[in-house]
Order: sequence, then C-alpha cells, then structure tokens
Amino acid sequence: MEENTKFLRAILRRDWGTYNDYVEDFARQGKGSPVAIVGCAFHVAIQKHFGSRQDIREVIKFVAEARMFFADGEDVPAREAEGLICATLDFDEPWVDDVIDSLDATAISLIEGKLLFKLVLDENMSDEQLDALLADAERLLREE
Amino acid sequence: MTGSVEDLLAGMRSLLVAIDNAAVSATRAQADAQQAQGRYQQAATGTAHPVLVRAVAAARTAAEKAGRTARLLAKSADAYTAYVNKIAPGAAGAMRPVPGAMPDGGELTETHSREPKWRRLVNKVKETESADDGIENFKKMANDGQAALPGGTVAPVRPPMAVLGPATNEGPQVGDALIAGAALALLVMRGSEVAVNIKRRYLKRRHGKDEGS
Repeated sequence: MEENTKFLRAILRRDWGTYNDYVEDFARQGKGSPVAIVGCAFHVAIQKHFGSRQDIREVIKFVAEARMFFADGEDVPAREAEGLICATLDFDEPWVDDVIDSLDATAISLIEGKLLFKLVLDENMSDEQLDALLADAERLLREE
Repeated sequence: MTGSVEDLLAGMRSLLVAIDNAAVSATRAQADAQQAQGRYQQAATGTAHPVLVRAVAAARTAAEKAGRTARLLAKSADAYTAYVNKIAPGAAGAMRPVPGAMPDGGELTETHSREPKWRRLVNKVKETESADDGIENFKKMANDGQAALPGGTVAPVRPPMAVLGPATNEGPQVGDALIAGAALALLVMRGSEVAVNIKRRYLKRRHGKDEGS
C-alpha cells in the first residue's frame, strides 16, 4: 500500500495516532494532501454503496445526512456533493457536467473525502473491507 | 424540421429542465428539513421548552412543504410532458432527462459516443497526485470527522473546530441545542434562497436564451 493510501486509511479508520505521524511526516517532506487516491477510493465506495439504487432521492438523502453529520457543513455543499455522486453513478443529469467543470481536483477531493469518511462510518467497515476498498482504489489509480 | 419548430422545442426543453431542476432543489430542501427535524427531536428529548418545540414543528412544516413543492413540480413536469407529446409526439421523451432512469435507445447511442461522467471525474482527480495545500484538506477531514463522532477519540494534531459559546458544565444537550439552532437558521436561509434562486436561475436562463437567440 502506498504512503498516500496509508495516510487516507488512518483517517478512515479513525486511527489518530497514525494520522498524527503522517501529518508530521508529510509536513517534513513538504507534501500536500493526497488527491488522486481519495478520488479513486470515493469512486469505488460510491459504486458499492449505491449499487443498483440509481435514484437521485437516495443521493440527496445521503448528502443531507452527511451535511448534518459534519458541523462544518460548508465543506460539503449540497449541489456539488450530489453532482459528484451523480457523476460517479453516471446519472444523466444535465447539471452534473457543470459541477465537474466548476471544481478543481483539490476542491473535489475535499468534498469526496468527507463523503467517503461518512460512508465508511455508515457501513461500519471492518479493517479487511476497508483494505479491500483501498486496494481496488489503488488498482483504479494505476489504470491507464 | 423547420427553424421555428426547433426554436419552440428548444424553449420547451429549457422550461422542462427548469421545472426538473426546481423539483430536485425542493427534494433537497425536504431532505435537509427532515435531517434538521431529527436533530431537534434529539435535542428536545426530555424537555418541553417552547423554543425547541417550535423548532421541531417548524422543521416538520418545512419538510412537508418542501415535499409538497417537489411533488407539485413533478406533477407539473408530467403535465407539461403530456402537452408537448400532444403537439410534437415523442419529443418530450427525448428532451426530458428523468433522474436516474435508464436511457432509451437514442440516448444510449448518444451516451456511448461520449466519455462517461464517472470517467471524466476520475481522470480529473487522477491528474493531481497531491494538493499544494500544506495538508489542509486532510486536516479538515480528520478534524471535522473527529468532531462529528459521538464522544470523539484521541484529538488530532490541530484542535477541532471553535467552541460555540463559552464552555459550561451544562452537558452535551446545550451544544446540541446550539448546533440545532444554527442548523435551523441555515435551513430557513437555504429554504428562502432555494425559492429565490429557482426563480432567479429560471429568469436568468430565459434572459440568456433571449439574448443568445
């Protein structure tokens, strides 16, 4: 597992000791927050979570729950969060392309990261399940 | 097809998209209001304080009204679709993107000819391995996740969010009530914003179309 993935894993497992180590390590190396692996993990997790439930009302409900969960809901703007999930599920919503175009990769990864945190928590994932998800995400990351 | 009929259908499509977008916004407002109502009910457990009782009632009313708005808008879009089908049989089916519905044959052909949305999104994030943000995004994720967890665990490097008001020994109910109060204020703002924005966006879109034509 790559360092960026391990850093993400520490947050998703709520392993704050390991998280603190990575913060110090990344700061020392002058590295920023991982972006690509968050996007790939988000993709895998959303596909698994929603599966065949291709209903925008499910998406809206999940985003509303996530926004209420995080006290700082501004980091999970409703339209953008719904747009990123709809894009991942390839919904034919006319406004989804606008959401993808209007956000840069860093902004996308913050929204996706917080939704991913909530999703992993909701699904009460075991360490093995989380590792399987992250392995799939790394495979997607390496795909040409 | 003549130009005037094309213009007519384009105008109708624009209106149908506006109605569908408004229905999505109303459904979103309903989901937010339901979440707020749940929070109020939690905060109000064991108390009959009139402020919280009113907050629960207001959130419930907001959810019901937003839900009714969403249903009426969906009904309006259905009626409009039926009308368009009367004057141009088959046109409305192609012009209306039903949320989450399977595309028909024509749409499938179109879908296959373009890059899927999920691929565009994944490719976009894959272009950036790491952000130039001094780890701010990950700190936000960790701190906000930590703050949201019931009871919390070990504090991450950066202390979580600012405390709402002075720390007291009145227990978590006060914090919940403050958060619930802030959520209601946000909800009321969002509700009115949604209504205003639906109208504004629609007028803007129409205005843009009029200028473009």
